[in-house]
Amino acid sequence: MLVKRGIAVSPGVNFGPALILGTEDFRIPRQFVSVNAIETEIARLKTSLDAVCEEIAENERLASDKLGKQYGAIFAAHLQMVSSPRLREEIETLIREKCYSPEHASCRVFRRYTKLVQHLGDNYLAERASDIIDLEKRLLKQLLGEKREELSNLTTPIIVLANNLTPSETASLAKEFVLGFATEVGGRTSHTAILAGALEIPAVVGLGEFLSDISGGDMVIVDGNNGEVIIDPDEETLAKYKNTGERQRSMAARLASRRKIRSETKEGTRIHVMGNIEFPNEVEHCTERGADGIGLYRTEFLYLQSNTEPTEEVHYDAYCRVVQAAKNRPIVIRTLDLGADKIPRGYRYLAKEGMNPALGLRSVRLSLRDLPLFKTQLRAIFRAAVHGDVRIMFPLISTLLEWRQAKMIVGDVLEDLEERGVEFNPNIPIGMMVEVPAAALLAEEFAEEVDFFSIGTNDLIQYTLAVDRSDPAVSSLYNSSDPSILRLIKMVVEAAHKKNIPVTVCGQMSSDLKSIPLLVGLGIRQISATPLAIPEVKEVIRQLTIPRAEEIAAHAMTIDVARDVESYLRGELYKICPDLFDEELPL
Amino acid sequence: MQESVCRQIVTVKMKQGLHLRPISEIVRIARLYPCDFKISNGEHSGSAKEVYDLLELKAMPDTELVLEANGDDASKLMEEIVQFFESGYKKFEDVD
Repeated sequence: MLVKRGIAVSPGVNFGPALILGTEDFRIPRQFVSVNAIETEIARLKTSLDAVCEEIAENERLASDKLGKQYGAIFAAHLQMVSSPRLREEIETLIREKCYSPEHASCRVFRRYTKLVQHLGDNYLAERASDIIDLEKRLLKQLLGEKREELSNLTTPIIVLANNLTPSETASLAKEFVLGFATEVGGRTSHTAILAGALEIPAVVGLGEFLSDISGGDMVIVDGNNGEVIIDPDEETLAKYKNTGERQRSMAARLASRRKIRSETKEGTRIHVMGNIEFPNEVEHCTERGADGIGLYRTEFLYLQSNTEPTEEVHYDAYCRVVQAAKNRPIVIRTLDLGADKIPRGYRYLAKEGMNPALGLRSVRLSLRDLPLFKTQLRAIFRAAVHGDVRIMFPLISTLLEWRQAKMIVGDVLEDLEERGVEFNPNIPIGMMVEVPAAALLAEEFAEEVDFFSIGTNDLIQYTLAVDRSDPAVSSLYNSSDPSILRLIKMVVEAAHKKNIPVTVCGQMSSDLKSIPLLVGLGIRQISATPLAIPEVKEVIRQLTIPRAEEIAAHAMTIDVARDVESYLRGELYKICPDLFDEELPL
Repeated sequence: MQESVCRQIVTVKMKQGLHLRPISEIVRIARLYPCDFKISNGEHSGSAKEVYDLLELKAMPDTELVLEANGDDASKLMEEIVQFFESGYKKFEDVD
């Protein structure tokens, strides 16, 4: 049994056999096959070899066309090697006579040839070994179904393990077969993590190197609540997790049955609980769990799903779908929140190599630099606002000047729309994310000019504590319970109350149950959480009274170390709703 | 078409020995003909139509190889292969 710790990015617990994707060294899931299966396995080998031949032939065509015939010849050599009858025969013999799996047999045969070439004693020839290694990889990819698009047509439930997954790959996961997923790199706010949350698959990222310690098919537990991945668990651990899983399912069912009950404290103070979404179809994930609206609609996916910049119509269609699905509940649309390094096509030039992306041209800074990009999005939002309660929120506002600039552009966009004569709604609330400490410190000044605040805790913590949580060397500094964070939140809430504007907390902290009493106690009356957490957040609120919450917040503010705040909050939560917990929970 | 057996000895002149690129070309040529074509270094002998056989020859520069063709168009193929060992290989030297 091996326990790896990482960053929990999507809650839930699941276990199942591992499927390893995209490592450099392919792991072979099974070494042997049963005698009965030999013919099917050989058929599988043939299909895979044929597929590799096709792949190489295609590469040969491309290389010849684009680079010239000599280069195509490289692939011609590969093609001969894969289509070689001798190769097929040797692999087949190993399968037939030794009952090796095709993967294992291919590996053996290719490794022998690799060695042969490496031992030819000449550097140049030795280099050619890489050709054979490449072929081996191609064949194993075929045999193992490593072609990643096959994620969309899996046939058995598995836990997906990878170094990293791209957003579009995550989106194509056949959800019904993927029990969970774990990656070596990535952080909580990485796009992949957000998408995994959207798909509601338990996920842990940033585990560091672990794929070399595991073979495909090994039993793996992904604990998306505690950020742990357990490889090859012992009986006892597995039993414990089975138990936890069952309890969580029955709890979820119980909470679901109460989804229509209003989210209010015991004495009847209304706390609006909304959902954070990425895709239009997630609105339902929120409403079916009794959300009061969409507190954060991230629009980055619109920019990442294709290589071209989305047109106004693409934006408009997506926003309209969200508006329709939300059925008159409020929707807060956040404008583009990407770094220039993630933007497709023509905007790359804005991102300088080697610059720190977290402190560079990203988010609203990028929007303000590239006005056509910004205006396209804004036009679509104002048009969609005709159909429902739509609000706009600018991310990463750091200075008042930035805010005013953004508002000026809104003015321009409204004039454009007027001239164009299309239907639009000019009177919608426009607010800002408070996620830069500078903005929190000037909250009173900002509160004079904005319609609402939304505290984005993820970035606020990163910038306040100067820590990148995806870096394991420093990630322990990242803590939403840090006294500095509590003070900043308090400042923002007080400023908002003084100027009588609403303030929401979105970000990971608002899905973290132990923070709910604290946030309510600090004066927060609107929370936007990940859809999966909504029922539990509402449950905590329903067990809460305002005086109790205020007491908790007041006491938390007196503690000077994050770790102590955290354990205090956890203890209080346990007292408020003990049945949300497993008995073994360490307090 | 004529049935025949022919045999000839060539020396490997390729700077890097008989590596994948020239092997690939030999295999390509050999596969165009119906006859058998064996290449031997005294220790190993293999088919000119099979990449792995030729790799196994581990033929370094200056190695002498025995070529043997047997079957339809044997002499034609022999001619082409010998020509390749004499000079045809050169266009495969610069490409990496």
